Amino acid sequence: MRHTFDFEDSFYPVPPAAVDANPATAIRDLLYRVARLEQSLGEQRVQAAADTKEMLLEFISLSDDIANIAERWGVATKAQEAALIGSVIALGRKIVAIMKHHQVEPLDTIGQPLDADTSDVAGSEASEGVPTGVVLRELQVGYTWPQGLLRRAKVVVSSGSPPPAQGAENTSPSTTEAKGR
Amino acid sequence: MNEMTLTCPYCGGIVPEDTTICPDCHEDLSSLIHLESAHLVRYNEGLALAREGRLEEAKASLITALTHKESFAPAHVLLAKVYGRMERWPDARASIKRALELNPDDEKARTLAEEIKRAEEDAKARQEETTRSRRVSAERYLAACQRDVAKAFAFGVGLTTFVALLISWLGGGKKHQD
Repeated sequence: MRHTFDFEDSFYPVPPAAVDANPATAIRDLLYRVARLEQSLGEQRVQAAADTKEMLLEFISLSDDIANIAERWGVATKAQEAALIGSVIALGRKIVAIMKHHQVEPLDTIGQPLDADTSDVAGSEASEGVPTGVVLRELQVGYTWPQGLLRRAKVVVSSGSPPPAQGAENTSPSTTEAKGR
Repeated sequence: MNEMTLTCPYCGGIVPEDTTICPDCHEDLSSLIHLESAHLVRYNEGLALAREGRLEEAKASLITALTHKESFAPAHVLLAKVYGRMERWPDARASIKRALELNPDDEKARTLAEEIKRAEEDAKARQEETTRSRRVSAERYLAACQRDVAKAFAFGVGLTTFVALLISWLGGGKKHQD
Protein backbone atom coordinates (compact mmCIF):
# COMPACT_ATOMS: atom_id res chain seq x y z
CA MET A 1 0.00 0.00 0.00
CA ARG A 2 1.30 3.44 -0.91
CA HIS A 3 0.79 6.33 1.59
CA THR A 4 -0.33 9.59 0.04
CA PHE A 5 0.15 12.17 2.85
CA ASP A 6 -2.62 14.59 2.03
CA PHE A 7 -2.06 18.35 2.08
CA GLU A 8 -5.48 19.30 3.39
CA ASP A 9 -4.09 21.63 6.08
CA SER A 10 -5.61 25.10 6.31
CA PHE A 11 -3.94 28.28 5.13
CA TYR A 12 -3.12 30.88 7.79
CA PRO A 13 -4.89 34.22 7.24
CA VAL A 14 -2.45 37.01 6.42
CA PRO A 15 -3.84 40.38 5.27
CA PRO A 16 -2.97 40.94 1.58
CA ALA A 17 -1.57 44.38 2.40
CA ALA A 18 0.93 42.73 4.76
CA VAL A 19 1.96 40.17 2.13
CA ASP A 20 2.67 42.93 -0.40
CA ALA A 21 4.29 45.33 2.10
CA ASN A 22 7.88 46.40 1.67
CA PRO A 23 9.58 46.65 5.08
CA ALA A 24 12.59 48.48 3.60
CA THR A 25 10.35 51.33 2.44
CA ALA A 26 8.62 51.40 5.81
CA ILE A 27 11.94 51.54 7.66
CA ARG A 28 13.11 54.37 5.38
CA ASP A 29 9.89 56.28 6.11
CA LEU A 30 10.26 55.68 9.83
CA LEU A 31 13.86 56.88 9.84
CA TYR A 32 12.75 60.01 7.99
CA ARG A 33 10.00 60.57 10.56
CA VAL A 34 12.45 60.02 13.42
CA ALA A 35 14.88 62.51 11.88
CA ARG A 36 12.10 65.08 11.49
CA LEU A 37 10.94 64.52 15.06
CA GLU A 38 14.52 64.86 16.34
CA GLN A 39 14.91 68.11 14.44
CA SER A 40 11.57 69.34 15.74
CA LEU A 41 12.50 68.29 19.27
CA GLY A 42 15.81 70.17 18.99
CA GLU A 43 14.02 73.28 17.79
CA GLN A 44 11.46 73.00 20.58
CA ARG A 45 14.23 72.60 23.15
CA VAL A 46 15.94 75.73 21.87
CA GLN A 47 12.60 77.56 21.93
CA ALA A 48 11.87 76.27 25.45
CA ALA A 49 15.30 77.44 26.64
CA ALA A 50 14.71 80.85 25.10
CA ASP A 51 11.27 81.07 26.73
CA THR A 52 12.67 79.98 30.10
CA LYS A 53 15.48 82.52 29.78
CA GLU A 54 12.99 85.27 29.04
CA MET A 55 10.84 84.25 31.99
CA LEU A 56 13.83 84.06 34.34
CA LEU A 57 15.06 87.46 33.21
CA GLU A 58 11.63 88.84 34.05
CA PHE A 59 11.84 87.18 37.47
CA ILE A 60 15.30 88.67 37.99
CA SER A 61 14.01 92.09 37.01
CA LEU A 62 11.14 91.66 39.46
CA SER A 63 13.58 90.57 42.15
CA ASP A 64 15.73 93.67 41.47
CA ASP A 65 12.65 95.88 41.75
CA ILE A 66 11.65 94.28 45.05
CA ALA A 67 15.19 94.72 46.38
CA ASN A 68 15.12 98.39 45.33
CA ILE A 69 11.74 98.89 47.01
CA ALA A 70 13.02 97.33 50.23
CA GLU A 71 16.18 99.47 50.10
CA ARG A 72 14.31 102.71 49.40
CA TRP A 73 11.70 102.04 52.05
CA GLY A 74 14.28 101.92 54.81
CA VAL A 75 13.06 101.32 58.35
CA ALA A 76 9.27 101.12 58.67
CA THR A 77 7.78 103.33 61.32
CA LYS A 78 4.22 102.06 61.34
CA ALA A 79 3.02 98.49 61.93
CA GLN A 80 1.03 98.55 58.68
CA GLU A 81 4.09 99.67 56.75
CA ALA A 82 6.20 97.01 58.44
CA ALA A 83 3.65 94.35 57.48
CA LEU A 84 3.59 95.62 53.92
CA ILE A 85 7.37 95.69 53.56
CA GLY A 86 7.54 92.25 55.19
CA SER A 87 5.15 90.92 52.55
CA VAL A 88 7.18 92.50 49.77
CA ILE A 89 10.36 90.92 51.15
CA ALA A 90 8.60 87.53 51.45
CA LEU A 91 7.54 87.87 47.81
CA GLY A 92 11.15 88.65 46.89
CA ARG A 93 12.33 85.54 48.75
CA LYS A 94 9.79 83.45 46.89
CA ILE A 95 11.12 84.76 43.61
CA VAL A 96 14.67 83.98 44.71
CA ALA A 97 13.52 80.44 45.60
CA ILE A 98 11.98 80.04 42.16
CA MET A 99 15.24 81.18 40.59
CA LYS A 100 17.19 78.74 42.76
CA HIS A 101 14.84 75.98 41.64
CA HIS A 102 15.83 76.82 38.07
CA GLN A 103 19.49 76.72 39.16
CA VAL A 104 19.89 80.44 38.64
CA GLU A 105 22.94 81.58 40.61
CA PRO A 106 24.22 85.15 41.13
CA LEU A 107 27.70 85.89 39.85
CA ASP A 108 30.31 86.50 42.52
CA THR A 109 32.14 89.56 41.22
CA ILE A 110 32.89 91.87 44.16
CA GLY A 111 36.55 91.80 45.14
CA GLN A 112 37.39 89.76 42.04
CA PRO A 113 39.30 90.97 39.00
CA LEU A 114 36.96 92.09 36.20
CA ASP A 115 35.79 89.21 34.03
CA ALA A 116 34.94 90.72 30.65
CA ASP A 117 33.06 87.54 29.67
CA THR A 118 30.43 88.02 32.37
CA SER A 119 30.57 91.66 33.42
CA ASP A 120 30.31 95.10 31.85
CA VAL A 121 32.11 98.06 33.36
CA ALA A 122 29.62 100.74 34.30
CA GLY A 123 32.24 102.97 35.86
CA SER A 124 35.51 103.15 37.72
CA GLU A 125 36.54 104.68 41.03
CA ALA A 126 39.79 105.36 42.70
CA SER A 127 40.07 103.19 45.75
CA GLU A 128 42.73 103.06 48.40
CA GLY A 129 44.61 99.80 48.50
CA VAL A 130 42.56 98.11 45.79
CA PRO A 131 44.44 97.16 42.61
CA THR A 132 43.24 98.46 39.27
CA GLY A 133 40.52 96.36 37.58
CA VAL A 134 39.15 94.79 40.73
CA VAL A 135 35.36 95.03 41.09
CA LEU A 136 34.32 97.35 43.86
CA ARG A 137 30.51 97.04 43.65
CA GLU A 138 27.70 95.85 41.44
CA LEU A 139 25.14 98.12 39.84
CA GLN A 140 23.39 95.14 38.38
CA VAL A 141 23.87 91.61 39.68
CA GLY A 142 24.81 89.07 37.02
CA TYR A 143 23.34 85.57 36.94
CA THR A 144 24.24 82.20 35.52
CA TRP A 145 22.00 79.23 34.82
CA PRO A 146 22.61 75.69 33.48
CA GLN A 147 22.69 76.98 29.88
CA GLY A 148 25.41 79.50 30.69
CA LEU A 149 25.28 83.20 31.38
CA LEU A 150 21.74 84.48 32.01
CA ARG A 151 22.44 88.17 32.62
CA ARG A 152 25.63 90.15 32.51
CA ALA A 153 26.69 92.02 35.61
CA LYS A 154 27.25 95.78 35.56
CA VAL A 155 30.11 96.66 37.85
CA VAL A 156 32.21 99.52 39.09
CA VAL A 157 35.90 98.72 39.09
CA SER A 158 38.81 100.17 40.89
CA SER A 159 41.02 102.55 38.96
CA GLY A 160 43.78 102.27 41.54
CA SER A 161 44.83 104.47 44.46
CA PRO A 162 43.88 108.19 44.19
CA PRO A 163 46.72 110.69 43.64
CA PRO A 164 47.74 111.87 47.15
CA ALA A 165 47.98 115.62 46.29
CA GLN A 166 44.50 116.15 44.90
CA GLY A 167 42.67 113.99 47.43
CA ALA A 168 38.98 113.24 47.44
CA GLU A 169 37.90 116.35 45.44
CA ASN A 170 39.22 114.92 42.18
CA THR A 171 36.77 112.24 41.24
CA SER A 172 36.89 110.68 37.80
CA PRO A 173 33.97 111.30 35.42
CA SER A 174 33.15 107.60 35.32
CA THR A 175 32.75 107.57 39.09
CA THR A 176 30.34 110.41 38.84
CA GLU A 177 28.40 108.52 36.22
CA ALA A 178 28.31 105.44 38.42
CA LYS A 179 27.14 107.43 41.39
CA GLY A 180 24.44 109.00 39.26
CA ARG A 181 23.05 105.54 38.66
CA MET B 1 -6.08 29.89 13.92
CA ASN B 2 -4.99 32.79 16.06
CA GLU B 3 -1.31 32.50 15.32
CA MET B 4 -0.48 36.14 16.00
CA THR B 5 -2.04 38.93 17.95
CA LEU B 6 -0.30 42.18 17.22
CA THR B 7 0.12 45.02 19.65
CA CYS B 8 0.42 48.40 17.97
CA PRO B 9 3.93 49.77 18.67
CA TYR B 10 2.66 53.35 18.34
CA CYS B 11 -0.27 53.30 20.79
CA GLY B 12 -0.23 49.85 22.44
CA GLY B 13 -3.67 48.93 21.09
CA ILE B 14 -4.59 45.44 19.90
CA VAL B 15 -4.66 45.07 16.12
CA PRO B 16 -7.12 42.45 14.77
CA GLU B 17 -5.54 39.82 12.53
CA ASP B 18 -7.58 40.74 9.45
CA THR B 19 -6.30 44.30 9.15
CA THR B 20 -3.01 46.15 8.86
CA ILE B 21 -4.24 49.50 10.18
CA CYS B 22 -4.34 50.08 13.92
CA PRO B 23 -7.98 50.76 14.85
CA ASP B 24 -6.91 53.13 17.65
CA CYS B 25 -4.20 55.31 16.13
CA HIS B 26 -4.76 54.49 12.42
CA GLU B 27 -1.07 53.84 11.77
CA ASP B 28 -0.27 51.53 8.85
CA LEU B 29 1.36 48.41 10.30
CA SER B 30 1.52 46.36 7.09
CA SER B 31 5.33 46.22 7.05
CA LEU B 32 5.49 45.15 10.66
CA ILE B 33 2.85 42.46 10.05
CA HIS B 34 4.80 41.40 6.96
CA LEU B 35 7.89 40.82 9.12
CA GLU B 36 5.96 39.29 12.00
CA SER B 37 4.06 36.89 9.74
CA ALA B 38 6.84 36.05 7.27
CA HIS B 39 6.74 32.42 8.45
CA LEU B 40 2.98 32.26 7.77
CA VAL B 41 3.42 33.69 4.28
CA ARG B 42 6.10 31.08 3.52
CA TYR B 43 4.00 28.32 5.07
CA ASN B 44 0.99 29.24 2.90
CA GLU B 45 3.27 29.34 -0.14
CA GLY B 46 4.68 25.90 0.73
CA LEU B 47 1.21 24.46 1.23
CA ALA B 48 0.01 25.78 -2.14
CA LEU B 49 3.08 24.36 -3.89
CA ALA B 50 2.67 20.99 -2.15
CA ARG B 51 -0.96 20.84 -3.29
CA GLU B 52 0.27 21.44 -6.84
CA GLY B 53 2.74 18.58 -6.44
CA ARG B 54 5.78 20.87 -6.66
CA LEU B 55 7.43 19.16 -3.72
CA GLU B 56 10.98 20.53 -4.08
CA GLU B 57 9.72 24.12 -4.16
CA ALA B 58 7.30 23.40 -1.31
CA LYS B 59 10.17 22.02 0.73
CA ALA B 60 12.26 25.16 0.06
CA SER B 61 9.37 27.43 1.14
CA LEU B 62 8.78 25.47 4.33
CA ILE B 63 12.47 25.52 5.22
CA THR B 64 12.39 29.31 4.73
CA ALA B 65 9.30 29.49 6.97
CA LEU B 66 11.23 27.63 9.65
CA THR B 67 14.22 29.92 9.20
CA HIS B 68 11.89 32.80 10.10
CA LYS B 69 10.36 30.93 13.03
CA GLU B 70 11.84 27.59 13.97
CA SER B 71 9.21 26.97 16.64
CA PHE B 72 6.33 27.05 14.14
CA ALA B 73 5.15 23.44 14.53
CA PRO B 74 2.66 23.32 11.59
CA ALA B 75 5.55 23.95 9.18
CA HIS B 76 7.41 20.96 10.64
CA VAL B 77 4.27 18.83 10.21
CA LEU B 78 3.80 19.92 6.60
CA LEU B 79 7.48 19.44 5.86
CA ALA B 80 7.24 15.90 7.25
CA LYS B 81 4.41 15.21 4.82
CA VAL B 82 6.40 16.64 1.91
CA TYR B 83 9.37 14.48 2.85
CA GLY B 84 6.99 11.54 3.18
CA ARG B 85 5.73 12.11 -0.35
CA MET B 86 9.35 12.29 -1.52
CA GLU B 87 10.05 9.06 0.42
CA ARG B 88 12.85 10.75 2.31
CA TRP B 89 12.09 8.86 5.48
CA PRO B 90 14.90 10.02 7.81
CA ASP B 91 14.04 13.68 7.04
CA ALA B 92 10.31 12.99 7.45
CA ARG B 93 10.97 11.33 10.81
CA ALA B 94 13.17 14.23 11.98
CA SER B 95 10.54 16.82 11.00
CA ILE B 96 7.65 15.07 12.71
CA LYS B 97 9.81 14.45 15.78
CA ARG B 98 10.52 18.19 16.04
CA ALA B 99 6.82 18.96 15.57
CA LEU B 100 5.98 16.64 18.46
CA GLU B 101 8.71 18.17 20.61
CA LEU B 102 7.15 21.59 20.04
CA ASN B 103 3.59 20.39 20.47
CA PRO B 104 3.46 17.05 22.32
CA ASP B 105 -0.35 17.10 22.56
CA ASP B 106 -0.91 17.35 18.82
CA GLU B 107 -2.89 14.22 17.98
CA LYS B 108 -2.68 14.82 14.24
CA ALA B 109 1.11 14.99 14.43
CA ARG B 110 1.19 11.78 16.48
CA THR B 111 -1.00 10.04 13.90
CA LEU B 112 1.21 11.36 11.12
CA ALA B 113 4.31 10.05 12.92
CA GLU B 114 2.76 6.58 12.99
CA GLU B 115 1.71 6.92 9.37
CA ILE B 116 5.26 7.86 8.40
CA LYS B 117 6.60 4.88 10.33
CA ARG B 118 4.17 2.51 8.58
CA ALA B 119 4.88 4.07 5.20
CA GLU B 120 8.61 3.65 5.74
CA GLU B 121 8.13 0.00 6.67
CA ASP B 122 5.88 -0.53 3.64
CA ALA B 123 8.44 1.13 1.41
CA LYS B 124 11.18 -1.10 2.82
CA ALA B 125 9.04 -4.20 2.30
CA ARG B 126 8.24 -3.08 -1.22
CA GLN B 127 11.90 -2.54 -1.93
CA GLU B 128 12.80 -5.98 -0.56
CA GLU B 129 10.05 -7.53 -2.69
CA THR B 130 11.38 -5.76 -5.75
CA THR B 131 14.91 -6.96 -5.00
CA ARG B 132 13.71 -10.52 -4.45
CA SER B 133 11.67 -10.59 -7.67
CA ARG B 134 14.63 -9.18 -9.56
CA ARG B 135 16.87 -11.85 -8.10
CA VAL B 136 14.37 -14.58 -9.04
CA SER B 137 14.05 -13.33 -12.59
CA ALA B 138 17.86 -13.09 -12.84
CA GLU B 139 18.18 -16.65 -11.60
CA ARG B 140 15.55 -17.80 -14.10
CA TYR B 141 17.38 -16.07 -16.88
CA LEU B 142 20.65 -17.68 -15.80
CA ALA B 143 19.05 -21.15 -15.74
CA ALA B 144 17.59 -20.60 -19.20
CA CYS B 145 20.98 -19.52 -20.47
CA GLN B 146 22.62 -22.57 -18.91
CA ARG B 147 20.02 -24.81 -20.55
CA ASP B 148 20.61 -23.18 -23.91
CA VAL B 149 24.38 -23.59 -23.50
CA ALA B 150 23.94 -27.29 -22.63
CA LYS B 151 21.67 -27.78 -25.62
CA ALA B 152 24.13 -26.04 -27.90
CA PHE B 153 26.98 -28.14 -26.51
CA ALA B 154 25.05 -31.38 -27.03
CA PHE B 155 24.12 -30.31 -30.53
CA GLY B 156 27.75 -29.48 -31.28
CA VAL B 157 28.97 -32.83 -29.94
CA GLY B 158 26.35 -34.71 -31.98
CA LEU B 159 27.17 -32.75 -35.11
CA THR B 160 30.91 -33.36 -34.68
CA THR B 161 30.33 -37.11 -34.18
CA PHE B 162 28.13 -37.26 -37.24
CA VAL B 163 30.72 -35.43 -39.35
CA ALA B 164 33.45 -37.76 -38.06
CA LEU B 165 31.41 -40.83 -38.88
CA LEU B 166 30.62 -39.46 -42.30
CA ILE B 167 34.29 -38.79 -43.01
CA SER B 168 35.32 -42.21 -41.78
CA TRP B 169 32.60 -43.90 -43.82
CA LEU B 170 33.59 -41.99 -46.95
CA GLY B 171 37.27 -42.88 -46.27
CA GLY B 172 36.46 -46.60 -45.82
CA GLY B 173 34.55 -46.77 -49.20
CA LYS B 174 37.50 -45.35 -51.14
CA LYS B 175 39.93 -47.92 -49.67
CA HIS B 176 37.66 -50.82 -50.81
CA GLN B 177 37.56 -49.42 -54.37
CA ASP B 178 41.38 -49.28 -54.49
